[in-house]
Amino acid sequence: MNILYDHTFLTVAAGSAALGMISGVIGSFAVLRKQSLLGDGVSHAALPGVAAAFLITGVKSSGILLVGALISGLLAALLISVIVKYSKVKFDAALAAVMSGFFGLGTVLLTCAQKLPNAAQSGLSTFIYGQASAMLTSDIVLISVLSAVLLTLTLLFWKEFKLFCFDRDFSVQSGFSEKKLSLLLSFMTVITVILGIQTVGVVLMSAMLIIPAAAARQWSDRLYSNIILAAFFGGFSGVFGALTSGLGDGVPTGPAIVITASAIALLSLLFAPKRGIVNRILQRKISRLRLTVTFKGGNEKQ
Amino acid sequence: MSNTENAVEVSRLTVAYNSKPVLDNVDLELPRGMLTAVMGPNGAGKTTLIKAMLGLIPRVEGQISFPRIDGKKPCIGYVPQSESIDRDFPVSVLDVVTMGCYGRIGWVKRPTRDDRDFAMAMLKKTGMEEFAKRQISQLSGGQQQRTFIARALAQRADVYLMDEPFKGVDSDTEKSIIALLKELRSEGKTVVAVHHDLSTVSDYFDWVTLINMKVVANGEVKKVFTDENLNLTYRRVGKAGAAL
Repeated sequence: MNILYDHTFLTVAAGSAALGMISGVIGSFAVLRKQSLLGDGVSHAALPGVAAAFLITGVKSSGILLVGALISGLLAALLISVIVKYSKVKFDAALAAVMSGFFGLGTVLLTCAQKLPNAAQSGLSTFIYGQASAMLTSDIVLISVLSAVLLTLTLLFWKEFKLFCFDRDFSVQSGFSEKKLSLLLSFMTVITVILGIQTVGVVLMSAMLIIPAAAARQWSDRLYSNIILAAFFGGFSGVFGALTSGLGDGVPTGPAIVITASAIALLSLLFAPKRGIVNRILQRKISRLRLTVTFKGGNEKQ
Repeated sequence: MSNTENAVEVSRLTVAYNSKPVLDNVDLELPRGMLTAVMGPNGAGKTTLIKAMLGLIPRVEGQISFPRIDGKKPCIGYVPQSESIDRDFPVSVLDVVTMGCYGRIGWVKRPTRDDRDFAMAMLKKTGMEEFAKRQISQLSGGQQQRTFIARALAQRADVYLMDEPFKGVDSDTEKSIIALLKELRSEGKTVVAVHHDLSTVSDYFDWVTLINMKVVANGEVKKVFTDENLNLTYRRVGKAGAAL
């Protein structure tokens, strides 16, 4: 297992772990406020930003590319909310339209960018499926710092987020502005997505937000334990995915991370106490058995 | 201008969904310290009226004011319609009731031990203390309703706006809820509740507002809860709609 001493592997594992953790936390709120797909929209919409940033600046540093991603991601989020507000198109339809439109544009721009002489080794196309092995120490610093900021915000506004996601009307009535909270939560989702697209890729990034959160929900009925579990599932998937990818020849990290998270979710759906499918079937069998026993017992006495 | 005897004053209120008016030029004054029933057929705008009073939905026109009590802005409590709540959300009953304190606590600060104790006391008041640790989906309809009433009580409000507090509750729960509302009245609080059951209005409420897009009648139950007014409220849906 000399992979454990490998600098590249350690970098990738640490980055993926941090990314998985923060995705679990922020994703939980997105899922609970029923906006799981916002992350999907934003991540797909980030692609033209990446390509455009490269075309304009000709630089392939991840900082600049991510700023491009951030701008086009935010632009898409804005466009979606404008469409919903000023037309009769519903949120899901607006999201699908904007997301695929931006992704299409991104693919076209990417093709143009790849024809440039210095694009070949720039790995722009890795933004589609992600390439964790390209992660540098500076990327880890970026992920860690922004994760810390996002976590601090989550802790500061814990009470507000909880109330807002649970009961919007009551939250507004209690004096917590819907605009501010909604904007803050969406912005935090966008930042998380942008952090993740380099590692997991724009196609699979939304899975990182949704899957750990959905898996954690099976195990607990309390918000804080839900979110801690989601962070743990996300972080574990990150490390395990990186490990699988490091050991397996040519297994891409992003998909490996997502498959790990999906496996956790599947196990959770099946075997979680109380909410798990297996437990529910067992409980039904047991109570049926009890009924039969009571019934027979009653007959024997007669 | 404001009458100090009023808990809520609504003037020229018009609310529309997709440019179709739901409330049309509503003028309304509801008295302080009384139990008021808001009644009307489905689609008459009862929930809309409550939400507009709370500032939860945009209004086309009109003003809403809660006159000051002893020079202080009154605190408003709210019990939403129970279907509007996400029952599967991971919160306990005590968590939900503690949310009633959030408005008083303000941004960023955390609820204290005192807040939680107060929430627990409100749960006791509604007979729900044994369910404090349950997740809300594991409650019956009546228990959920009592939880949301306890949350409104935790707001320590002067005026309570309740959207169908008796919906989906059995007759025992209904009795205990009405006893609570009467207790609030005896403390000088105002309760405005959307209500459906015509047979209990005279027993439960002091004041009644009959609406159907417009205010049909607004006054003491004894005076305005008449067959004539009820006919006007419930049977003229078609005509009122056509008039617009």
